Formats: sequence, structure tokens, C-alpha cells
Amino acid sequence: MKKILIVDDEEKVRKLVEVTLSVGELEILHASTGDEALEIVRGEKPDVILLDIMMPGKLDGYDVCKLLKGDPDTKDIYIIMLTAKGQQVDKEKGLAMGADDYFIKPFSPMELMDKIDNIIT
Amino acid sequence: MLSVKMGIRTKIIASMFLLLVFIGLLSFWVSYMHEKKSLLTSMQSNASILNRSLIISVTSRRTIADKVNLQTLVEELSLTEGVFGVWVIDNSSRVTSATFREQVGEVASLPMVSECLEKGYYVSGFDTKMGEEVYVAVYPLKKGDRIFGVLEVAFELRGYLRSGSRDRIRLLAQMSRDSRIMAESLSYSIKNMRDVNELVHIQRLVDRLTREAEIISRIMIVDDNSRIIAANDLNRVGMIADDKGVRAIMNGADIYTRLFPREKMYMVDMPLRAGDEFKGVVSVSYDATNYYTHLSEIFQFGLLISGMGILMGLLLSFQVANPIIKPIQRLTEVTKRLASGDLSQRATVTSKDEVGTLAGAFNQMALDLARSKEEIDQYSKTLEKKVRQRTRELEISNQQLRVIQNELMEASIVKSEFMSIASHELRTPMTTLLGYSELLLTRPLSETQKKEFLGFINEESIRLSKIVDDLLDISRIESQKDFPFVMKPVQLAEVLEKNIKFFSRPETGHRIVTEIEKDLPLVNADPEKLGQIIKNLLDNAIKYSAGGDIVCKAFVKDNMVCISIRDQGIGISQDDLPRIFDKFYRVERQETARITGTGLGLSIAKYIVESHNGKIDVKSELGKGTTISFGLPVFKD
Repeated sequence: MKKILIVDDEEKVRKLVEVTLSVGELEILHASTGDEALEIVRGEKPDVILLDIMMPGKLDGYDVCKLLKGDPDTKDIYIIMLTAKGQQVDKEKGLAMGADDYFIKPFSPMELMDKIDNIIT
Repeated sequence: MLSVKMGIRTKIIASMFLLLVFIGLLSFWVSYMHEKKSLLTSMQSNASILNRSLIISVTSRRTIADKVNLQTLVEELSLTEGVFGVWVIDNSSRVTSATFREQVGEVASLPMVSECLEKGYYVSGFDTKMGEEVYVAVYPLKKGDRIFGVLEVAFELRGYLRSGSRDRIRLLAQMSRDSRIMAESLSYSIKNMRDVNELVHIQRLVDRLTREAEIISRIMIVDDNSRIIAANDLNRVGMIADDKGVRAIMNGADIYTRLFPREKMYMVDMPLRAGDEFKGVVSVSYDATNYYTHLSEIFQFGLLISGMGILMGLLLSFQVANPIIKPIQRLTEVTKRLASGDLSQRATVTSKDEVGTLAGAFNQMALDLARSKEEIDQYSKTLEKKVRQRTRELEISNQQLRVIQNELMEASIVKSEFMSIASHELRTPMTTLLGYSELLLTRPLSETQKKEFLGFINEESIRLSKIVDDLLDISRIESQKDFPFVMKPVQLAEVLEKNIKFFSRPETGHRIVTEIEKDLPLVNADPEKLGQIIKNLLDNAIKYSAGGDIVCKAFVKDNMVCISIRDQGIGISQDDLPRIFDKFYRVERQETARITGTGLGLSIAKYIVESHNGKIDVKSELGKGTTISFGLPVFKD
């Protein structure tokens, strides 16, 4: 069973993602800050991470992405930035940090599900 | 020639001096010559008058002499003063002519006659004739060497006997001379014999003239053959006169004059005429001592005058040159000083001439120069000042520009930050709305789930609406338009109480406590906007505290009506405090992670309070709570 980690400070968003992906055989993990996300990644080794950028705390999404992609153990994890930062510069910055994909909020749950399906299979 | 180095002063003086000397000498020479000429003229006129009278006396006698024969001549000779008798005796001792006619034809018995005839030389001696003491002079009459007779002249001795010994000698000489000239003339030519008497007379005239007329020093009478017939120097009688004057008169000149400076004589030669017939020349030399003395006096006087003139000219030159040159020298001096930079120099020349005009022009020029310099100085000072001022202004405006630039850069950063935050703040609720509504539409959901999702949608819609309101407010505030205040006298306590009602939600665990002073004064304010502030502050108080009392106070302080809202929440750090009124500034801490907001509320509140001339203030302590208060000025009618 594939593991998906959703990192977002908004509980409603995390729940939305969880509900959206509940139809598949997936284990959904939650993290509301960057630190929390890193901790979970080390323990659970998720296959895909849905990563918000603007989060409270010391680490934002860019930092988390950079750290994970810089670590040989975690660099293969498929990281999808899922963020309200919709400007082109934000997207470029995210990709520069090693993100594999960039989703801009608000997003269509259906599209997200299709995307995850494609990645997993 | 005159050195180039000579000053104008020297030149003018020298040229004036030379001119004056020239004029002086010229006038001296002219006057001297004039004087000389007038002297000569007067002398000449005197001389010519004398000559003429001499000529008249000579020619008148000759005219008479022409008429007589030898007898008449003898008789005429006898009439000569001092002559007792005259006898012409031929070589046979016979009397051919005699004063006493009865004696003609007689044989002369006088031994002196025979002695003279014999020896052929002049014999003289005392005798008695007709009972009278006489002096007899016997002279041979010669033609060449031949003696053709003798002339016997007896002179009266009356005068001789009366006179002193000195005069006697003279008289004797006179007598011998008379007889000699008579004899000479008679013997010179038989033809001229008749002239003898005349000649004697002439010679006597000549003698007398030279003796008595002091101014006459020499007389010579020449006949038409240039032979001297009478002269003061008896030795010259009978000689040929061949000087310039005689020749000139012989050649037809009317008068010929000559000066002999050494002898101090003035000689005048004139023709001797009887009617139109030329008879000879009269040459008279006058004593010119006076003339020369006079002339030398004139010359000395002239020299004295000239010397004085030169001296005066020299003085005059200085006198005349100085007033001309002094101003020029002064002007030159002043010009030099002016040229060396002393612009205060002025020429003190006041004369009315060209130099004065020049000085005036110079002064005007100096004045203009000084004025121009002053203007330039002034101008450069002004310019300097202006430049300094402009530089300062530029610096200031540069500073302002830097400030503006910084502000703009900040504004630009703030704006992009705003965009980024705004989009985030808008997208976050939108995500919920879109996502859950899609789930509701596409998924089979339980009723409980449907209700839950619709609740999310509702919550986020309210949030979105509020965000949009705040954004609109801030945008209006930013653009400083379309954010009108409807001012009226308002009781702040009422506004507070009215808005507190919206927050009476016991489920949050908060309790709102009010402490309102009685009889609060009114404030002039927009109640809607004040309500917005109060809601904002209460919202914050609830959001950032887990529970506890929220104390709302209304009171008067420092002539202001104040409202304070105090919570018991997480508080704000000292680092964050100064920035909490900035737009979009949100305190990001672990505890605030779940708290939503645009970060615009306090910024808008501050703007509204300050627009009412009020003050907003915040006090906080981490973990203990925050108090935000604002005050508006008391309304005065």
C-alpha cells in the first residue's frame, strides 16, 4: 500500500486531500508543519508528498523540499508542491528546489486523484 | 636723435625751448639788421646831403671858373681869402697875369721868382708888397719837366701876425699848400690853368671841411680823368684814383657807399656834375665811430635781451609745460596703479582741457571697472551662494528621492508581498470551497459528511467575504479615495456595547466584560468605521486567546474618549510589537499556526483612528495577554 503524505497547516485542506484520495488503496499521512513532515518522512518513507509552501514554523515548503531532495534516502520521493502561491516565480522556485510537480490552489480533487494514480501505477 | 627714453615732459620743454630760442634769435637778428639799416640809411642820407652841398659849392665855383681866362682866374684867385695878390710870370720873368692888372707885362724883379725859374722848385718867404707884410710863395709851373713860368702868390699876414705860434705853422702850411695847389693845377695843364683858382678853392674847402666838420675824416675830389684834384691828404693830389667807388661812379652810378670797419669809416662816392655834364667824383669818408659804437651797443643790448628772453623762455617752458604735463604724469601714475589692481584710484585732474576730459573719462572708466568688478564679485558671490543652495537643495531632494526610492522599493516589496499574501489568503478558502463542493457534487457521501462539508464551505465563504472586505478597505485606504467617513457626534460606549453583542459566544470559552464610565462625552466620528475597529479587536482578542475574560473599557483620559480591550491570550513579543500595525503583518508562531487572518485588521484600525485625530496603542506580554486601546478627541460644539 502506497503512502501519501499531505503537509498543510490548513486542516480543511488536509481533510479534503484525504477524502479525495480515500477511494484508492492508499495510506494518507498528515503533517501540519515542515518539522513534523520531516519527522514523518524519516519514519514512514512515503511514496508521494503533497507539500504546502506557506506554513507556520521555522521551515516552509521550499526548505522541506530542498532538504528531502538533498538527502539520498529521500530524494526519490515524489514531491508535489500544493500551494496557494500561484505566481510563475513561485512555481519556478519550487521546481528549482527539486519538486517533481506543482499544483496551485484551489485545485480540482479529481485532477489531483488522476495525478496520484499516474504516479503510483 | 632725441632719445626715445625722453619723457613727454622733457620733449615738450625741449621743443618749446628750442622754438623760443629760435624766435628770440630771429627777432634779434631782424631788429639788429633793421637797426643797422636805419643807422646806415640815416648816415647815408646825412652823408649824401653833405656831399651834395659840397658838390654844389664845387660846381658853382667851377661854373664861374669856366667863364674866366687866366686873368680872371688870377683875379678870382686873388679873391681867395687871405690872398694878397697872385701873379703868373712866364719863363722870361714877364708878368702875364696879375691881381693888379697894371703890373701885367712888367718884369718881375723878385729874387724868389728868378730863383724858382732857375732852380725849378718851390720857394717861399716873407716880403713886402705895396707897403704890406706878405708871405710869398713861388711855385714853378711845369708842363712835363719844362718850366714855362712861375706862380707867385702873396698871402696877407694880418691873421698870421695876430695868431699864436701854433696857428702860424698851420697858416704857413695852408699858405704853402694853397700856392702849391694853385701852381700844381696851373702847371698840370695850361688848359686847366684857369681851374687853378677853383682848385685852390676846392682844396681849401676840402681842408676846411676835414678840419672843421668832425664827422668828415677824408675827402677826395676826382676829375673826369680819375685824377685827384683835391684831397685832404695833399700828397695824393695829382694822383690817379682807382678805387671801387670811383670806378662805379665813372660807370654811371648815382651813389656808391662803403663801410670800412677797421677805420670805422663810411665812404660815400657821388658824381660831380655841371648840369648834365659829368665832371668827376666826390668821395667823402665820414667818421662811422658812432655808428659802430651804436651798433655794438645795440648788439650787446640785443644779446642781453636775448639772454633774458632765453632765460624767461626756459622758465616759461616749464611754467607752460608743467600744467600740461603734471596732470598727464598724475594720470599716468594713477593708470599704473589702477592697472596693478587698485580700483579705488581716481584721477584728480580738474582742468577743463582735453587732459581734464581724459581724466574724466578715465575716472568714469575706473568707476565702471570698479562697478563691474563689484558686480562680478557680487554675481560670483550670489552664484556661489546659489550653487551652494542648489547643491543643498539637490542633496535634500536626493535624500528625499532616496527616501522615496526606498519607500517605493519597500512599497514594491510590500506590494508583491501583498499580492503573494492576498493570493494565498484568497486561494486558501477557495481551495476549501472548490474542493468540497466538487466532492459534494461527485462523491456519494453520508449525510453527516455532507453537513460537515457544507459547514466548511459556509465557514470559508464567511472568511473569504471578510478577506475581500478587508482587501477592499485597504485598497481604498491605499488609493486614498472611496473610503468616506460619515462623521457625527457619537457616544462611543454605545458603539462598543452594540458590537460586543456579535461576539457573545459562550462556546469559545471566552467571557466579555465591560467597564464603562458614566456620562462619557461624545466624539465626532463615523460609527460604522468605529464598529469595524471594535469587531476587529474583539476578533483578535478571541482568536489569540484560549479563553478567559476579555475586558472592554470605555473611559476619558487626556481629553480623549478611550476604549481598551484586554485579553488573556498568548501575547505579542517585543520584536513583533512595533510591526503589528503594518499591513499583512502576522505574528507567526506555533500557537498562531491555526489562526487565520489577512494581517490587515490592525492596519485598517490604525488608519481609521488616526483619521479621527485619535491614537491607537498596544501593550502586551508574552503568555499573559494583550491590551489594545484607542482614543478619540472629545467632541466640542
